[in-house]
Amino acid sequence: MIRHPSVAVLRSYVDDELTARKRHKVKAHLAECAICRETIRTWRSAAKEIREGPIPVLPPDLLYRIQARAAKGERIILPTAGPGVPPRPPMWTAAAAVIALLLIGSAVLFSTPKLKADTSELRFAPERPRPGQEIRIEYQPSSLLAGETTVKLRGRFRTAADEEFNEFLPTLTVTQLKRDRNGLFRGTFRLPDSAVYGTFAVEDSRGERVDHNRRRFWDILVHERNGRPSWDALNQQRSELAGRNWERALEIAREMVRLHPEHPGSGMVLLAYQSEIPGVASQDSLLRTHRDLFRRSHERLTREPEVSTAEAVSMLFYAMRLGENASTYWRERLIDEHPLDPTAVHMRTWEVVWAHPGDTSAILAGLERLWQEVGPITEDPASQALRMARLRGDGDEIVKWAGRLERVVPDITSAEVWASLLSSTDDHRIRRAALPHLRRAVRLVDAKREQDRPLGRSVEEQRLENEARSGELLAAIGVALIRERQREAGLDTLKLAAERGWNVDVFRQIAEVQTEVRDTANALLMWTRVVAEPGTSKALEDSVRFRIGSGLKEQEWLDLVATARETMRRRVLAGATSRVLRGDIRLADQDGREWGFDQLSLGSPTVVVFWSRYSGPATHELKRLRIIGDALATQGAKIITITADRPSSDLRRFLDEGGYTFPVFYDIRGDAKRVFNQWGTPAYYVLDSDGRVRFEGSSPEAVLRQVTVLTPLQGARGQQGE
Amino acid sequence: MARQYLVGGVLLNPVLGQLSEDLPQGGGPSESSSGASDFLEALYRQHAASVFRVAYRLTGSTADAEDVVQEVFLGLPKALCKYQEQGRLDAWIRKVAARVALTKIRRRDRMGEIPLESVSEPSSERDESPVDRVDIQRALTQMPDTLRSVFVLKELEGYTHAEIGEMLGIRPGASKMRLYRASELLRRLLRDLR
Repeated sequence: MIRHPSVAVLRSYVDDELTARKRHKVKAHLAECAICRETIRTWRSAAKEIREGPIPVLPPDLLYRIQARAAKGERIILPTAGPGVPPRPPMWTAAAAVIALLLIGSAVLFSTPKLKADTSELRFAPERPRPGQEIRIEYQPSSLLAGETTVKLRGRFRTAADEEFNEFLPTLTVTQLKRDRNGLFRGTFRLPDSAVYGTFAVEDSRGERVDHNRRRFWDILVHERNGRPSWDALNQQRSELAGRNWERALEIAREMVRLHPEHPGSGMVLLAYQSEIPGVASQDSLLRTHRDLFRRSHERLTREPEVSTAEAVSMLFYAMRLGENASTYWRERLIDEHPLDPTAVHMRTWEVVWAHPGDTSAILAGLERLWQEVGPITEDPASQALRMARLRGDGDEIVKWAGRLERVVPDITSAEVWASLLSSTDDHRIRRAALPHLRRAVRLVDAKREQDRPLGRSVEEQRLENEARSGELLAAIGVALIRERQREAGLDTLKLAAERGWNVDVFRQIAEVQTEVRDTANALLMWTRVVAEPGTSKALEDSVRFRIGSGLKEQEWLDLVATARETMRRRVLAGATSRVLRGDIRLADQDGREWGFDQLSLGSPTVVVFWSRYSGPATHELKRLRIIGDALATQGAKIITITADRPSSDLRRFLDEGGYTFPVFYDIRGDAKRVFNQWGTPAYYVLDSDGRVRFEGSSPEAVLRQVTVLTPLQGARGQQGE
Repeated sequence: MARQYLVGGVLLNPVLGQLSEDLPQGGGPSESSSGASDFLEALYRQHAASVFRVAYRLTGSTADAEDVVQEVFLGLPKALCKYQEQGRLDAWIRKVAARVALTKIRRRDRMGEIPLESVSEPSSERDESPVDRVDIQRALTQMPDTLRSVFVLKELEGYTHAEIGEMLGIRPGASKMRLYRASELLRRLLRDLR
């Protein structure tokens, strides 16, 4: 077997850094070895390309721009000297390091290896699998699951056709992992042939304790033969992260461009994310670069007799985002070459709607023809037709299209569509059609299907979620039964609905109907729950009191409201955690002053919001933070916002122009992110007055209620604070 | 006789690289500003292309390279005061440009940016040579910045590892190791692209 010189030796040969003797040896080897000759030719070609190869042309107006900036007085200090070479550590330091290493080395050799800081690790082999390949798993647990003998690997697979967010993707038990003598869990599974990406979590056999890797999960991407992740795999990884971690999704979009520059979807996706970053979206250089990339793809692909669906869709959206006229070409080409692609069907749906503005009858006829051709591929024709049917108030059309929509979206979601229809119409045809679907959905929810339990959520957490969902469905059923003159069954169903979760919209719906049928006692209970909800206006409370509680004495009324608040507290706290934040958090305020987090948070309930200027969803919600802050203040609570963005005049301007007056703290050392275990923005946490995290992954809609349950019970509205 | 330019109170002869600070203060604003503009233009016409090549090869991005060119020429009139006539002026300017480009890369990496444009589109007309030019460009852009920087500085400007180390703030030995790694990676990338 031939021994080739190392890369270092070949490189030194090219750079003429070898001794004469070594040079002679390498030369002799090269005379016999085509592989090494090729290696050297590669490097020399690359060097030639760097020195002489074509590069873009400088824009002709660049000098003018420089002169204009100079004329404005702009000055730049150039680095005329480099940072310098770091000094070598003194000999004694190096020796001490060696000695220290020797001292602990023996301990390392003879002790059992432990993971740092109670973390777990999941490893896949191979790390870069091909489609349909068998995967071996090795899982090293943290203390959470270390005591188990068998654990479950649950996962969610994505195909190239799956869309953003994870709502309709089933979660499966992929395999069981069994513990070996070394405390590691092992198992295998085969990647489904159509899967390009998978996300995983590990849990005990009862689903009570879930290791979700600090909400990051673990994932696996299908790779091409050349070892790079496929474009579809990267795109699905990005889709998976939409709504979970925008910043990470943006990084993946960049990776898509880096690894798959030839795919127009890469540039299109990156532009979509960059467009959400304030200040970046309008940069001339950015748009110019994207236009250039788009046009090169356009020139190349217009010469192809056929393009793939992904290419056509990417080019269409890219052109639309850039405002390029070529969007017409790509829409036509997509519809022409891929008429059944979901995006094409979406376009064709809207062509029908726009072709007959205001003429619901013509639109319905056009969508019927489209449906007959494409069938249940995507929800667009059915959802638009349903909208038209509702505008017309046509009960038969509503029933027909709601039934068709059900073939496209999963059972429980379609039941929610039926529930929404019921709340907006009194048409008995719709009621009769809706009831079986709603009952079926309740059965499915109560069946606690594993596939409906999202990754990372425990069985108990899902139970609470199911309770809330079935409450909404039961309320819709109860109301429908009453309208169908099945009063007793309806009232019983409404009582069931009222026992599940805390949903003010459901309580209000139930209260209206109970008032209507003169079930006064139960209606009063429901109305007091509506009144107990934080944020309910005084005007509504007075109206309810007048309408149904006028016979009550003041204290009786206050007692009922207090009871409702206690019910709210109990039910909302059922979903609470109690996590102590371990670790020191130092933050900087806008003036650069450092604060300990405890100084800011202890003493009253606190809502902590993580946000970033580079996260579209986070910046969209900033306006609501102002309103939330004001509402929290009335409860004696406060809001703290934390960003990992660096303080800068840009950021200051962004805050000033947006009118964002809530307190902003900078997580300059990453303490908050680490201690909170926060990943992705926006992220909401609600802390009690002792600084413990009680609600994680909260939302703007829920925080006020969650803060309210953390403060002592109030006897009556108007008495605020602790 | 070579033209001399009045820039910020300093006379500069870019051809001879000579500096003179013994000049009278003042001079009309229009005179000095038009002189400064002429000087900037002269510097630009002479050196912009080579500055751009250095910047482009290091950053891998047209947009970033243009930014580097702008920064260099905005700062050059003042920076020339520090030019000590060791070696050729053009080589000194390119070294300054390389430092600016490296700073840009470091800032870009901190922000997590990856240059969009630093990816060349495959040409429909492929070279017949074994190592295709397009493949080389693509392989170079796929390399991490830390490795590409060393490779480019070595091959484009012929810097020694001591010089590269001084520019990157690393030891010469580390520069050498990075060059080996860059070379190995390049070899592998080009093999995979074929």
